[in-house]
Amino acid sequence: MRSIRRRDFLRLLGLGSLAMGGMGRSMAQAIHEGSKVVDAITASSRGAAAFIRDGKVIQPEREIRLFRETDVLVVGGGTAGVVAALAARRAGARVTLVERYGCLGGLWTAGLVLIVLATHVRSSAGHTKMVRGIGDEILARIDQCKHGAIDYGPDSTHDATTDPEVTKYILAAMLREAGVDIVLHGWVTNAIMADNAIQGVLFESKSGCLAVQAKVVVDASGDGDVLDAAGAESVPHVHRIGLVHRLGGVPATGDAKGLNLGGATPVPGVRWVNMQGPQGDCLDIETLTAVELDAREAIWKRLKEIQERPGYENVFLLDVASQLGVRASRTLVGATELTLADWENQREYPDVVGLGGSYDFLRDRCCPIPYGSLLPQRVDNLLATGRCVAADNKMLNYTRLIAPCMLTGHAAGAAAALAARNGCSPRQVDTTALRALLIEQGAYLG
Amino acid sequence: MIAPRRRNLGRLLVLAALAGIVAFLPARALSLAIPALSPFVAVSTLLATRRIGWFTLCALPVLILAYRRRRAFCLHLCPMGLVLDTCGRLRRRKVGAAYARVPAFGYWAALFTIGGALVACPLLLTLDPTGILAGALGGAQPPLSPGRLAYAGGFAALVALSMAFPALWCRRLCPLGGAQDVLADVRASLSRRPERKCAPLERRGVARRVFLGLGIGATASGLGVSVPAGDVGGMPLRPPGAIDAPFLKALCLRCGHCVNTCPTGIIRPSASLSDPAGLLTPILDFSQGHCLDSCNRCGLGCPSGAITGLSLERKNAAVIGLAAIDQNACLLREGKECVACITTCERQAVEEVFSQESYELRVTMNESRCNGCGACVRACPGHAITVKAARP
Repeated sequence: MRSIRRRDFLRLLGLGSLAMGGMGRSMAQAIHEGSKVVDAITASSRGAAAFIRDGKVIQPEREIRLFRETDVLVVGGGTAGVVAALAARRAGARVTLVERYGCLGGLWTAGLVLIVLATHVRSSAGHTKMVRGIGDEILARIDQCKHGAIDYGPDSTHDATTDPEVTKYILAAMLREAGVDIVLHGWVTNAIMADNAIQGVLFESKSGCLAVQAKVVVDASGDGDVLDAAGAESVPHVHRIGLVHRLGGVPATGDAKGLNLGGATPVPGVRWVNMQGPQGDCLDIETLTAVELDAREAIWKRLKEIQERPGYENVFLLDVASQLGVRASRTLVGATELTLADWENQREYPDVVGLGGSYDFLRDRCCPIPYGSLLPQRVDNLLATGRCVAADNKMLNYTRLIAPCMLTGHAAGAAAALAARNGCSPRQVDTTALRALLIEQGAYLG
Repeated sequence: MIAPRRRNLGRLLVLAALAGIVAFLPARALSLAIPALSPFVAVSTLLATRRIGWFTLCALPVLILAYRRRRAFCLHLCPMGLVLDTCGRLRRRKVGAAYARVPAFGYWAALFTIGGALVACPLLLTLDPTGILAGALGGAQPPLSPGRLAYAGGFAALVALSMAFPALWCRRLCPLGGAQDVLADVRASLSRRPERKCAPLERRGVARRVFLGLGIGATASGLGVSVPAGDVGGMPLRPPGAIDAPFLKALCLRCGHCVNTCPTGIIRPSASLSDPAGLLTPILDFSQGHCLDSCNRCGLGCPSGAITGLSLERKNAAVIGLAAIDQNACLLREGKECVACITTCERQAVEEVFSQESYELRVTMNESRCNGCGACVRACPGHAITVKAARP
């Protein structure tokens, strides 16, 4: 019986015993399914239990089960990861995507950050759509669903807001249609390296620790977890950590002065409320735990204030994001760094792989994103995408937005497919061919 | 003697050359060069600011010349005089020396102003013709704007005056001319030899007149600037390095140099009728831009020192005002994902302050870092930031 074994193990561990050290659980064993005893379908790959030696917890050396072998491995199923997986798969590569939660979309869905910022260049001269290709295809499909999106379409002067459930559904559907191998509930923990080249990753799961071998790895983890594991240089950041929530039953009119009722969503009466939150190290588990707990308390406190306002008695808390709103944690030290000064000076790049829309501090014109911002300086077979691309502490407030993530995701996926196809490292990918592939896939490059 | 006809030809040539210079030189070069000639401006500025700038040195030869010969500047150098004299001659019917009955206002104005300069407030310095001409030349350069054209107002008034009463301005009203008369009188009174040419005022009692004029000027100006300032926060913003408002209003020539030279166009001539003394003095408007860290032109080129010429480093440290954030208009309050001010500020003066109690984040301005450059004003999409004057 599993529970007894675990208890035994814990007791032994407490005594500092080494007795469990050699015990492996690689054999299939009987488990309960309802009232029936069946053979376990999958063997656990947890390895031998750890033990304590000289007061230090030691994990014994072990073999990790090779779970998948693929061309392109995308780590993280957020906006950038999903777009990267779609781009690579459509370019003909075999693609595996590993996501730590049970749904796709990352901060866009599980994080409840529902507004897709910076899709257009908006100026007094008009609105020009910058995010086309796969990113826009996703938005268009979400918009086709009932209560899927608001403010989407050629007449809109605002960035679109989508429904998180519709978004999760559409992202999964598109990945499955394309034939991407999706692995959910897998938390990537380490890299498989051969000198300076990454060969794959390890991830933890209910099935234990598993390995995926790949020709090219795309780090769409947001936190640059793979970059760090692979030894690629990155910059740590401290930024605000928030926790978004949604309110239901919000009346359309009323005196809401002083109340933060957030922004409209496609579902009537439902609004999403952003939170700025305290600054903290998003890679520190104690910080994350404290913010998660404090923020939930703060949300309930604010809800009470709203419910005390006449007319708003029936407002209820629909849900709190299952994912903390981490804004910045690590950014890559890349071949090219996006900086605000370069944007202001209208620096031109030879390897532009995306043109982002305008934003608060990038007004009236687009933001070119060079391929170099996805490339690590030393490590081969690895690409960064999404929030962790190379950007200075000002520009990361742009690259972390959903629309730029779509662009860097598209570029990373297409580049990874080309590298896998040609058997070269991403840094050797011909940018002319990459740009041609992106344009073929509908991207707008000017 | 040169024949009158040939003299007229020469005059036309000089005027044509002047027009050519106006057409081809950048506005700021003109508004720099012309007031630099005026010894009246140089002396007033020197006394008022107690600083020796390159303008002071430029005017020194002219000062010596005017000391050596009465009204040497008027006779040989004054471009305004040439223009006005020509205007006077355009009249068909000669009016004769109508100005002769008018008292020597310019003489007293010069003494009054220099007296005021002793208490840092040269009240009538604005009447200096080089400043008026520089304003007209700079203001007439493209791109034209009502504000810049306003600087040509003084010029237009003088032209009209000279058409109606030829030579009245130059002989009786001009303080620059008056200042030269004072200078010549002083020289004559110091000299043992009686002066051959007749003075407009009698030689005797020069010292008395000078002390009387200076004294009245200093007293009146001193009383004028001692009026306490009102609410500082509501006062207009001035360019970095500008001297305090009451003195600036006196010292500013209204030549428009700072307005013309500012690369971002944030310096505007004041058009506030509620402050007539401050009309056409430089004020800042951040709606179209902000004060660049890479620029210190307005101070370096100011001919009167109303805006102190500062090195870039010192100019950037000079406080224009303090930015204030209206928390109710701040987009963060609505939960918007905005970092515009934080990203824009080059001094890291915008700080994020998180309250664990209310679990809310606010952006606040670090007053010791903010110099009021206004970069955040235009950056703020919520229009929540204004820069308020920190001093009169």
